[in-house]
Amino acid sequence: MADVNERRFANLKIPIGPSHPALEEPARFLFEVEGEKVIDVDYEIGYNHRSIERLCQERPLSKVVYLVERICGICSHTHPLNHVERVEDIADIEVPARAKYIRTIYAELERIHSHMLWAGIAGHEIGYYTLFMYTWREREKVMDLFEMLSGSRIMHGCNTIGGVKWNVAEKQAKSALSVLTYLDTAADKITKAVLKDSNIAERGKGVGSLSREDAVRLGAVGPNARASGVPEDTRVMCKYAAYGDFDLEPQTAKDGDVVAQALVRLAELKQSIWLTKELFTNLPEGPIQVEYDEIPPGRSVGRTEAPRGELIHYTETNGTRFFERIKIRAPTLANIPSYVPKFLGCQIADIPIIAASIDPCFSCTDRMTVIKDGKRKIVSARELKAGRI
Amino acid sequence: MIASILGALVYAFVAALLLQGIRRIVVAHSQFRKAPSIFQSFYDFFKLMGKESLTPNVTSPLLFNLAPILSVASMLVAALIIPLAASASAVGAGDLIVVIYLLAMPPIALILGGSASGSPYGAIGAAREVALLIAYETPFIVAMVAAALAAGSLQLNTITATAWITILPLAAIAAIWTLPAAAAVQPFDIAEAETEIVSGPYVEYSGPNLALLQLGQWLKIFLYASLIAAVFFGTAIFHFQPAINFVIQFMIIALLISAFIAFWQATSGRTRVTRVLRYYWTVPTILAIVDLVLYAAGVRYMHFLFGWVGV
Repeated sequence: MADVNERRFANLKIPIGPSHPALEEPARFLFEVEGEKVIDVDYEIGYNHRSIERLCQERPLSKVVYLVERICGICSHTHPLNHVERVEDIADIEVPARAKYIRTIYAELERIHSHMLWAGIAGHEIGYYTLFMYTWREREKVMDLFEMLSGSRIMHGCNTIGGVKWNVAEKQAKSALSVLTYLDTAADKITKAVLKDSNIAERGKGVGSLSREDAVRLGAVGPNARASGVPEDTRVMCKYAAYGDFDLEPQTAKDGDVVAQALVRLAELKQSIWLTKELFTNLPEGPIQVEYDEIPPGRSVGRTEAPRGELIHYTETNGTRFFERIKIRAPTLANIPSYVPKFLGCQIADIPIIAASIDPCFSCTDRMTVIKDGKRKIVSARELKAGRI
Repeated sequence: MIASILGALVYAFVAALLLQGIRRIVVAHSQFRKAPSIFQSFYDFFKLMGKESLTPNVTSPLLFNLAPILSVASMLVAALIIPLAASASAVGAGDLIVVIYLLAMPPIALILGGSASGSPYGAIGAAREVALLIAYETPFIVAMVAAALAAGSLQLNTITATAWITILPLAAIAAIWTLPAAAAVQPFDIAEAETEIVSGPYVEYSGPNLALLQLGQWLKIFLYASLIAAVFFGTAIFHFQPAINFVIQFMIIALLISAFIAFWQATSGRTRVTRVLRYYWTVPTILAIVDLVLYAAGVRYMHFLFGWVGV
């Protein structure tokens, strides 16, 4: 009798993904629910593997910049920026100041449009489509700005080893400043719309909380960690590109819930708009690119702050036209473990907004998964380099 | 008789789908985007009718396929009973209790179809639909009972002879307040919630079955708004020509749908299922009960303003 009852009251298992309207990219979550309450969660990533790292070893060194640019459609600047900084570090190339500033401008504009995109997606997940439409309409202004600066909305092709490819003309800087002034008021409006709305407060307060201890223990990065009160910002810590010239304060909040995530991202939105304005007004004169001879063998690890958090690139050269190894750790990979404490005990209705709250980017994340007959195989470094997996 | 029945059915079908078009245009303009055509619901409906209907390998195929027909059939019966187009009901007489039962049928069809679909999303959607139904039906029924009590009859033709908003404004507010929940749009689209449970009960439906299920929902929104308009705004209160009364009533319904469904939909996100009961069983229910009790106690507090209407 007992097992009959058990079967009748067995908890419902709800699969979310790999293809689901709440997820912008494929990933699989399996929730065990009791009524509307989530009591267990399991996740699985690896649906988006494109073997970028392997491809990086297979093409001439100068073309890898364009390949790493295509890792992510949103972080299409911070990946190549980190990559060229690693190569410049190995080859000891000193980049001109103007190039550093232009790189920083692109990086900050990328953060602005990424955080606006996040606010829109958060609205979409809780069914607030007007917020989605509004933020994405304002985000178009940033995309147009990118088009004016580089000729392309998404794939800017700005970075190159030894500097940048696109200079900023006097006229462009002027019209960019007027767009940024407009965006500043738009950011205020979005902030007001998000923080003053009772429905958003009800849907976000205390939902998907992550304590400071858990954030540190699970290695959360970026806005996800800062929302839990961990003042970690790679821009402040590493002072790469032109960030050393500016005094930035990491934006933090306390609770780590959806409202805190929104607070951090909206504060960063304002901060980035301010910083981009400063960069445009203080743009130093000079060349934007330096010549380099050849890339010596060497290795370099470095971090940049992608809009989603800390991005790590490891680059190894061997003196030939090809890279020995490139390893990329995207921020979402570090943030995924923090899903578990966020999901436990939440309502089904909160699943999409919690899933979106860390701003996941699964296609950046999926490096490698080997599953054969349901068993994971451990791959040695030599096998990996040879591509025998 | 046959002509008036056919007329009522065709009018309900055309008006329900047109009002969906109007609602979508209002929502689109509040969201700064281009709107679909006003005839978009017609296109959707006829496109789906021409497609194949798939029945999943479910526990009850009969129930699954019966639910859409149940939904539309009960709405067509309701269209004959509710006084539409500023005239008496098509079958001559109509009972308020029957109409309230019939208006609950499309959600019940969704609950049956969602439970029978064998999908966990359908099961959760059905459970949410139950919560939503009992939440908004309570203030709605109390408001309707207040109007019936004031009219001294359950016959809709008798009730709709007076514009009860002039005597029972609080009950009218309570009834209008339930419109967005009855329409199941944001913030009350909890049973569909496509980012959470992939449109819930609708998830396994396709082709004509889906078209009928949606048609039932659209007809319900129109008939629900028509019933509120007929009871609280009257069918012929100013004794104009029938054509003018018809236009006035259609405009009241369109206004109710665009102001209380579309505008609300555009300005809020989806709420949680736990909040809906708390939401509808407090202020709207209390408003309706206050009006009911005051009328029963003989208090006519709106008389100074609307005494000239002559009730």
